[in-house]
Amino acid sequence: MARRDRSSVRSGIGDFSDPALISTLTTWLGASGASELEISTTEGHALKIVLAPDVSYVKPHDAAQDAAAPVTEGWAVKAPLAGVFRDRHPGGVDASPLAREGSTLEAGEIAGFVEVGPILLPVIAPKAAIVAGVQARAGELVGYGDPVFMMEHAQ
Amino acid sequence: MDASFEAARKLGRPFQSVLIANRGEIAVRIERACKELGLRAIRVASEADCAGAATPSEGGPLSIGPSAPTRSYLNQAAILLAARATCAEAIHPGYGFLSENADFAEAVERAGLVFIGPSASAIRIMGDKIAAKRAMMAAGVPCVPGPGEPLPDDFEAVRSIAEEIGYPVIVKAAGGGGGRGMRVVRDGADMADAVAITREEARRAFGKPELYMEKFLEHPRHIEFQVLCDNHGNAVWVGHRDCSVQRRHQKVVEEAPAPGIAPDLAERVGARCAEACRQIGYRGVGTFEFLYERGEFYFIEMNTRLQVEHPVTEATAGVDLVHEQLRSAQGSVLDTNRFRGEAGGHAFECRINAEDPTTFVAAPGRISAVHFPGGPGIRIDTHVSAGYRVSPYYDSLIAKLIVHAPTRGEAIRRMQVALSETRIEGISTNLPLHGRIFADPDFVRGCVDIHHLEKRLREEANGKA
Repeated sequence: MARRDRSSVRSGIGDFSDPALISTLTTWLGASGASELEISTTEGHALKIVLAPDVSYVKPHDAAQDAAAPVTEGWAVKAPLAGVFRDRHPGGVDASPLAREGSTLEAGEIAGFVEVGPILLPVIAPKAAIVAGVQARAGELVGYGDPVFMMEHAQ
Repeated sequence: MDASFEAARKLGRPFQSVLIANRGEIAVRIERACKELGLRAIRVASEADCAGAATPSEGGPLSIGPSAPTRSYLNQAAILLAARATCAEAIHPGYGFLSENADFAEAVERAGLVFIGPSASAIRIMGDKIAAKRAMMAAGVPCVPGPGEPLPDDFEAVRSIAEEIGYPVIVKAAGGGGGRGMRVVRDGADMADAVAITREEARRAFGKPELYMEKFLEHPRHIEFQVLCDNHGNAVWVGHRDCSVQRRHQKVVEEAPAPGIAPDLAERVGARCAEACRQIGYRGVGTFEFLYERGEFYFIEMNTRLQVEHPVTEATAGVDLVHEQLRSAQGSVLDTNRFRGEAGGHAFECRINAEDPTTFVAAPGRISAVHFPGGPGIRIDTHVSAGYRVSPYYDSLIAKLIVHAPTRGEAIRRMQVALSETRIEGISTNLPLHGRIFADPDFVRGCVDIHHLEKRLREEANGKA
């Protein structure tokens, strides 16, 4: 399931006509705190999304609020793109890491970012789980599909 | 785009880091050359090729996409983003994949990086067979008889062109290549069908219906000339190769120099190739491919990139072609006096493929043990070692075995011994085929034509049946 979610994120890079992709990008844009997004590719695809002013932030989830749930098997949240791993939004002021070992993530929650030049793609937890380990170091290169977080299922 | 950028692009520009947008043996070969010149080599790879490799921080490749080539090695956006993420200043495309893609060359330059290869316009000219032929005729490069323009729609006009050339003729798609989109016509009666079918094929497979017509040569050899150019108008030919040992248009064994070619004829043709490069503003390395029959050369196409078989020329011309590519992209001036065109000794290359030795079907799998030969005059270019898994996603070339010796006879003997020492276990390879080629009296005598290997394989198959 994690694999499938990842590929749906990846498949949109060259083609911006897919409504699902536009919707995803709009969600990320809101999550990032920015109000405007513009992407163009070497194949001549271009996309610009401008958010209405009242979109609220997606707040990083507080790990402490959930009791440590018993775990099942481990799996990885993987990088959606090759780039520099960011454990928090680079534009944030008082930002702390979005996910640490022991954090609980909800399905669809942003756990970090991969940055390449003007592009910032979120690393998203495809399903609710507990972070068992952070594999990538902030500021270092990660490759497409490299494990960023090792996760354990909450029961 | 400011003027200084334009000028830098024309003349080349120094860089310290090179992203290698390729895989396999050629990525290893280019990485070595970069390191030898003190440049930072950046490797990228698909998920399949990253499996089991070291991480980028430990010197391994950066994963840029899934295993399917269209989503990794052919994904221009992914490669350009990886270049940005790794702060690469130049991109070397290797061979295959994006190496002859003019749009990619342009995109690389637009991103402010150096494309290690010719300009997009030169790639475009050579990618169009009619435009290429016209450019060659203008430079005095000998071409296959036939007009350097598309065939007219009027059928009677087509037939009179064929009669002027003389049957047999070959009808080809202007955008075709690799043996596709072409048809031999031996008689005027077959012309209408041949033109109609090829035109339809051209429209469907290559997106443009233009056809052209040439004299069909019955028993040609495939001989090619290596050229080397800088950004300052200097161009030189550095040797020729014979790549006639082919199966289904795929080269199997190559040698340099091509045997039996009169030096003054080679000099004349080589000089014309260099002149063509100057006329189209070519830079970097390139190859002019010719058919050769009864003492005459006929241009077929130019490859605007490094070639698989470049090591046989390196051995006999005493040049490192990848070093030269990198230097030319950096704007260095080429000293053409270093090259005389005459070969030092003789070299052969065997392409070792992971394939069934009788059916030639690709045979991916895990290599359990490997032993390559060594000693004087032996070169192995490979990316594999024991434990390596040959992926089904990419071409089956796993190693190139190159030998160099003072004479052709000594080089053949050296290759025979080297082949007998080579062991690759766990997968099937075409090593037995190479053994048979180097034991074939016709091949040993030299000068076989491009149909020889297939004819010999048919005879072997019939002999067994």
